[in-house]
Amino acid sequence: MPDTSFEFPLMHGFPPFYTRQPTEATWESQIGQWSQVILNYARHHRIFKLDLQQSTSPGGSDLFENTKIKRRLSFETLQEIIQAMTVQGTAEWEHGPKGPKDHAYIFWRRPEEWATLIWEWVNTNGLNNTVVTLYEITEGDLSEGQEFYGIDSQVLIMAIKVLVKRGDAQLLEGNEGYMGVKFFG
Amino acid sequence: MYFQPTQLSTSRRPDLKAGESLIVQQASVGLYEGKNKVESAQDGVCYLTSHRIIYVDSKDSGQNSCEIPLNSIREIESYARFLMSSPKLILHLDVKALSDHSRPPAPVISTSVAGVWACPICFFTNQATVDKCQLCGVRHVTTNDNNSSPSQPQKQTQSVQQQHRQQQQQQQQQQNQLPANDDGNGSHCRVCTFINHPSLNQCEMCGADLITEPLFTENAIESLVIEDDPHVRIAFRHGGQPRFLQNLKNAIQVKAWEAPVIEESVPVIKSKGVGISAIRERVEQSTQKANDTMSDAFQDLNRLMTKATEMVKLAESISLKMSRDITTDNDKDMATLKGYLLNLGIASPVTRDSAGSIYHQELARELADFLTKFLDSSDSIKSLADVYCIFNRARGVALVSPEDLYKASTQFESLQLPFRLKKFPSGLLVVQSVAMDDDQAASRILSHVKNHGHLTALQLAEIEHWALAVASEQLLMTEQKGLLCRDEGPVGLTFYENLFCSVN
Repeated sequence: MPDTSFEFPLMHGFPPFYTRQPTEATWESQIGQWSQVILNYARHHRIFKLDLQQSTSPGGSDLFENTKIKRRLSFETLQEIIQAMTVQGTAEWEHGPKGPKDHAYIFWRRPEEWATLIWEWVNTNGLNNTVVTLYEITEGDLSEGQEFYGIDSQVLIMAIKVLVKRGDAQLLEGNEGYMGVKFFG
Repeated sequence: MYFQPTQLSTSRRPDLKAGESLIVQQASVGLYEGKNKVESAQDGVCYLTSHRIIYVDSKDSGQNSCEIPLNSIREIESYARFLMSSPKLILHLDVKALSDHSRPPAPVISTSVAGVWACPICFFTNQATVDKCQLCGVRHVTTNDNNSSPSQPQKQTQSVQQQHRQQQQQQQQQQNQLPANDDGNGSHCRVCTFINHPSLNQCEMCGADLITEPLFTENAIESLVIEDDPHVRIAFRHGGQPRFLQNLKNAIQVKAWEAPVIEESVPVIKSKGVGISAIRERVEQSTQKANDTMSDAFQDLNRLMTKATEMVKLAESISLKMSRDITTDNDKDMATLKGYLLNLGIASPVTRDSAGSIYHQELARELADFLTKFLDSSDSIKSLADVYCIFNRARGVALVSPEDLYKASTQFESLQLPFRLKKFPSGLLVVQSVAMDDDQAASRILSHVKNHGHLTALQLAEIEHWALAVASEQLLMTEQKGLLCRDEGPVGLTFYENLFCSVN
């Protein structure tokens, strides 16, 4: 259910916003403003994963293209912005820092924050020491209304891995990768 | 004091009089009067012109610079290097000529007024020394009410009055001996005894010269001779003495100060009557003269050099003529052509031969002089390529090479001239005035951008009358400072005010 009422900042209508600024200080500030817009936009539309190639193609996304002023962000520039965001920890390349840089997870909440939210949900629903499938967390009745409802499975696994590290959960592997998770008390 | 204060241009080069040309210059010289060092003049540049030797001090050029006229030099003695002592030129002076120099020497009077006047009837451009129009024969009427010579410009009148005063003094001194002259304000003609108005040079009746000079100068010598052998010395601390000596000898032989006017002025054509045929004949003659000058000039480059002054004169007279035409018909091409001709105006260009080791410094000074006149405002920027073109066009002859111009421009800073050579990151070289530093340029560009919303290099070039390359470099510079940001849109590179940084 795409919500079209997302309000773009003024910058979105500023032509130079779509050109990579060569001056260092200006570029840094441009990155900051772009990542802010991307995160806000992703939060608004609950986007967890970004296809860089697709969203910078003509008509691909109203985030990276402003048809009123006829400007579109280039794939290379977006790559640079996402790269900067991975350094800040607000994004991560799908295939790791050394893989092809064309898909990225956008962390409008960081995995740690997701982990905290899930852990709270587990505790309030008394799911301690039970096995829960990943599907139940993302699409189940109990999680409806939660912020992580409909979360991208890869992002969910990242969040659960944080819990695993804390010693609060264990991932259970099935035939097609991770299937479920057991939360401890 | 044998040395007299001299006038300098803004870039501290000698201010040449009309008809005067620069022959050679030598750095690192010091001056002596008699046997004593002139303490304030021990390190400077010595210029030899066709009329004077001019010393320009390198430390305090405004105060310590001085000159000595060539016509006061009686004898030259050369003193070779001996142990610690530098080679010197000893100039024995003629004190009489030196004192005469305080008022302009007779022939120079006319050169110094090297103006022209346009005939009110036929608009022919006449030399100021002629009081009848050469074309139509109509007398030149000026507002000057001095009855001696209505056509003579003020300067000459003044110097004549000066002579008049001197005559009066001398007459007062001689009142006892010459009672015939006791009226005190007229001068007897020696030929016809007519009592002329004191300011006249020639008898009004018979045209004989009214000479009073010799009497005066005898007095002057009596009062002015201080020393048996007045002389000055010029010490050449870094060589160059033989070259200077050679040129000095030539210059004294040529005696340029004695006969400049006759050579320069358009020959006074003996006119017999007026009428169409006479006018045509005269026009033909002056065309012929112009043709001769040009074909003569182009025979070879050396000749061209010597004709430089004449060529510039010619160009000036053409432009003067045209400026009159423009008032009648507004032809744009004519205006442009006139602009070009007005640019032609360096009569005595610095050359490698004349300047020697200080060539680039001298060239830099000349260039600064020229740019001060040429650049309309104090905050202009010109690319070096443009400067090269306009500068060489102004020189007309003795063109400078791009390499020399570049080297000269790099000297601006060390010579404290009001211009700077700036190299942009792209390698573009520009000459800009000191006032136009990056910060000032950037803030100006920013205000332009704010006024227009956004600017391309082309638009900025139009607003500021800059070359396109200069405009785009300035925009990049301003962007570099973080005041602008760019938009690579479909129409090309456009610059906007930097909202990225101002928002934060």
